[in-house]
Amino acid sequence: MSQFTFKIHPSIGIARVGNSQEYFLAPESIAAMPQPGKDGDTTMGGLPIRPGTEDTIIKSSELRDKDGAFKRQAARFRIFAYPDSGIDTYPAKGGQEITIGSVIDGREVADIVWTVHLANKKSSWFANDDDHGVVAYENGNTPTLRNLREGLDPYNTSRLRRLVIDAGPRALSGINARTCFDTCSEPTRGEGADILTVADYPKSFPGMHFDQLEQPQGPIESLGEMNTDDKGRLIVAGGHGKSAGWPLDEKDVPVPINGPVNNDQWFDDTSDGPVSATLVFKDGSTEETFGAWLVATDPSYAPQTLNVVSLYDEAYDIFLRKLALAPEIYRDGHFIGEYRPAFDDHIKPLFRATAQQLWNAYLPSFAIEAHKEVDAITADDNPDETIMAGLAYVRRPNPGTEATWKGQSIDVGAPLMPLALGDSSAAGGKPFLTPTMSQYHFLHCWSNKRYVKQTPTPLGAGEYLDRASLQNCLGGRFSPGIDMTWIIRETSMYIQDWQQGAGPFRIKHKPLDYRHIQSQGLGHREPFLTFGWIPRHEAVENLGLEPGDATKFMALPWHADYNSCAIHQTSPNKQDSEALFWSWPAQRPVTVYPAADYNHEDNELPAQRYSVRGPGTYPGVNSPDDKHDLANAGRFWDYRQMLSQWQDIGVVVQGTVIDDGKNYPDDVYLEVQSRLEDGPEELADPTPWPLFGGNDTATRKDK
Amino acid sequence: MSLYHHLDISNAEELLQHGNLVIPKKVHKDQDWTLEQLQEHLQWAVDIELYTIPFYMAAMYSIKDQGSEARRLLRSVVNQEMLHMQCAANIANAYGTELVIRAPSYGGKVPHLDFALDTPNPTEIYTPYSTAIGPLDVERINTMCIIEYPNWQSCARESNGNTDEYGSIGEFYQAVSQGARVLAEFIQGNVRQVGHFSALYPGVASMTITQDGKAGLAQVESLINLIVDQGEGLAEKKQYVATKYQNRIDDLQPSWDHFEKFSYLREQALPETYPLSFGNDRSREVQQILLKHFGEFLVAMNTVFRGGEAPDFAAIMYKVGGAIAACWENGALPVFSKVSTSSGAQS
Repeated sequence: MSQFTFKIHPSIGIARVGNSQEYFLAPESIAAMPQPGKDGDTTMGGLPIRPGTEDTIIKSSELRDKDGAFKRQAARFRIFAYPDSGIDTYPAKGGQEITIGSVIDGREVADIVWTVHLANKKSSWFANDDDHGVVAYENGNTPTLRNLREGLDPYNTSRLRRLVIDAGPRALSGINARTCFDTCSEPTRGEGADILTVADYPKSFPGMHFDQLEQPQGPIESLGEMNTDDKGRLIVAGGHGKSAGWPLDEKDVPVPINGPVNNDQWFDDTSDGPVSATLVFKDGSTEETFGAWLVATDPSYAPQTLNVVSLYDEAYDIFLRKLALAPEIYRDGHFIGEYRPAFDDHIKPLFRATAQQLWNAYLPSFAIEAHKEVDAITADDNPDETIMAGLAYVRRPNPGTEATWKGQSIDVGAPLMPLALGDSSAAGGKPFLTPTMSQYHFLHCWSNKRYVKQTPTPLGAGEYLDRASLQNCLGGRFSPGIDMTWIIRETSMYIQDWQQGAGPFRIKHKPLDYRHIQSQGLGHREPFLTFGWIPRHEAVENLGLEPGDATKFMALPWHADYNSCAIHQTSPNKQDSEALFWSWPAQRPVTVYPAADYNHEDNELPAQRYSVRGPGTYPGVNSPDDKHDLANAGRFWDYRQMLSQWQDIGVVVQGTVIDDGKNYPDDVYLEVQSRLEDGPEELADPTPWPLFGGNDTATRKDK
Repeated sequence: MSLYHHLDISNAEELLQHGNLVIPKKVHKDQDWTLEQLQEHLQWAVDIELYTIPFYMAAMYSIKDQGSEARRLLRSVVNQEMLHMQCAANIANAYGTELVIRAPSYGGKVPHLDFALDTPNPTEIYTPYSTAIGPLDVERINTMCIIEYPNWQSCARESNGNTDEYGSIGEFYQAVSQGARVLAEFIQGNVRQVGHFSALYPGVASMTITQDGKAGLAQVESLINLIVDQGEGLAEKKQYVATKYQNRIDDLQPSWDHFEKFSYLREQALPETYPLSFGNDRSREVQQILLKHFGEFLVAMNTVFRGGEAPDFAAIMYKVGGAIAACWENGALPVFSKVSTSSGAQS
């Protein structure tokens, strides 16, 4: 009997689409924070890793392949062994990585058998209700079904067969192996030390069910690939950012895209699914691992801009308050007054995130100055003497009965931070974003001088990967978001008895029995995957997630939402204000400083430009859509254009990794590798906040 | 030449001492205006606007609930008072005034104005009142109403015709407007102008004086109108702030002038405020921190309104707000000057 528990990290790995066949590895460091184990390195975390290396950060020229295509981001999964005696705490005690050849508990690892199953269920799923989020699933309710023309019964197998993209499972073992989640390769699965073919697996891709498809970047025939590296670690890359629309009839061309989130008749090739692994030892014994999850989603166009509220902050907050993650911090419905958060762990990331916002958003000089002051705060400073004294400029979440501060301020805009749009709520939306309860609590402790400088319980290497993976993703504003949505706050999504070995932030796998797939003949096979996990529905919410159950809540196609979610008015907007605020400022750059424009002579930042710019970002002359609304600036006027130009958008990276032959300061973050042409004169230059919509400021009408 | 030399002080701390500010005498006739008198009036205008800021801010941060209606309305007023101070300073600089910005004195009379000369006398309506720094309470709200009390045309003012003092801020600005018009030839554009708040009010043509002489007069008058319209309201009984002067971003009541906002708050239940708990080390410490930051803020304002640069102006300004909040959170009364003021909320 093993004395060890084996887990895959990161618990949730994030892959990102790219139109290149090549990929780089997902960042294994936290955006804007120092890279672990690299003291003195001026390059901050968040950047992808060069394939084939342990942690070598890519240069700007490596974002695209030799043909200029945008590389995918692949997630790298590893297995860690933890002594059973220390698995019921977070962080867990001990923990070491296991690769092929490692010796653990006196046994040598001969092989690792990985199984991954990716699917995309977006078309079969419900429309996202931006303003209500999970509330739309409460009391037995659900939002409206997408693609009602394909049938009103969500459980209808014919409907599921047509609308779910399911590549089926794939398994790999050994080193430097490869397989694809495509239409051609045979589904396989791991069983013990073996890899078995899954005969007659009912793979499903759009071209199998729809005769006519509009496919701006070619047919969706793959959801990605999986590889093992030279140590037997797993690398999973997702799709190529493709989309496919099916016309209702011959007149229905082009297939309409009329909104950002819920477009019927469309597929995209994002996906998600379980990652599992079996350790095979030389003595013939095997050990199962606690599995992980792969989410393949939008590209990251500003990988070093830390979200003030990230997926990690959301997951941590829920585990803390609902799943007893750290009783010394929170128990019995209250934050514990005696607990002292750590400046480096709980406080500093918030300050760093604040200071990074200027690289993606056009902030007024006052805000930039103030943010720099926030960033300069150290653990040695007296909080009362800092600009954050009294938390005068931090928007408060509603403490309910859990904490001591008074009231919430979700309706209050400037000067409260973060000055970004809020989330869904039972009341129909929060106008502005707040830190999570636990983030605010930690700030509150710090402002009252109840903190320690350094965490006494740093994360182990595996748990750090969990954190880095999620902390580089968007939290807070789930409408529906970029990487994952509000499901990150659903306790039913996770293995809840995490103290039994899984550790926190691990999605519960629904058991998938591949042994009983019944072939009913080509074209008449029942789908393997079901409608799947439904949050807040008692009968199914605790069964675990199937492939496709995490990304099905996201926008369809994702391109439309990325295009749209730049700057908006608040929702709700009780005062009918025309002021515009950022939707996802850290992860959806609105305005950027292009490296190509950098003033090397005076070492000065250039004027900002829209990240999404050029032809198509201004309305056609006499276009019926020509509202000259600043809310529409910095995006393509026609959602459809993003389907084929998303890969042309530039990426904001630190000056230290820009390898265009010029020198940049260490502390600037500039846009590189944009292939969008400069805008024509009709589009007005961006201006600093405050921005107002509907006031003829987006275009120069006098031209 | 250093800022301190210009200001005739030896260190920043002296700005925290109350100065012996010259109270200008009321000018009754157009022909009586001199440039020196106008400059005195404009210094006075800057003093009055500055006076309101710590007083209102202290009351605002005393409210526990950051999202409460009272705190939001007060913030909207504070923001506009900062704008008014900028406008007043810009006008002053256009007329060549050598501004000196010192810590206001609280606890006594509202500076420079004798409300007893107004009819009706607002101090008899809005009582009890106190000009001591304090939490948002009856005394503070009454004081706010008195400060912003309008100069309604319907009010009888003939009896005040022979006095040398102004009865309200509205009357005072009416006089400044007259003086500015008479002395328009002295206007010099682009002199030590600050335009920080321009983007908030895109409907206002210019927050700065950019033109000389009579061409600049329209800009001067526009800024005076802005101050008066947002503040105590124009001379009308029903007061609504003109659209171009409204905060279109997040003001709960963008069309209400300050007087209307305060009058409204006066009729509402008082919000919960932080209690004062005198005497602990931290409360004394946060008071000293606030004094330090406010002193730096005065230096920064003297610098920018004298044409210098204060690259950390925003950080200094925000630190003052943070320090006020920290005072209340620690049971300490915010302090803004080295001279002791009456503590608490006594009239």
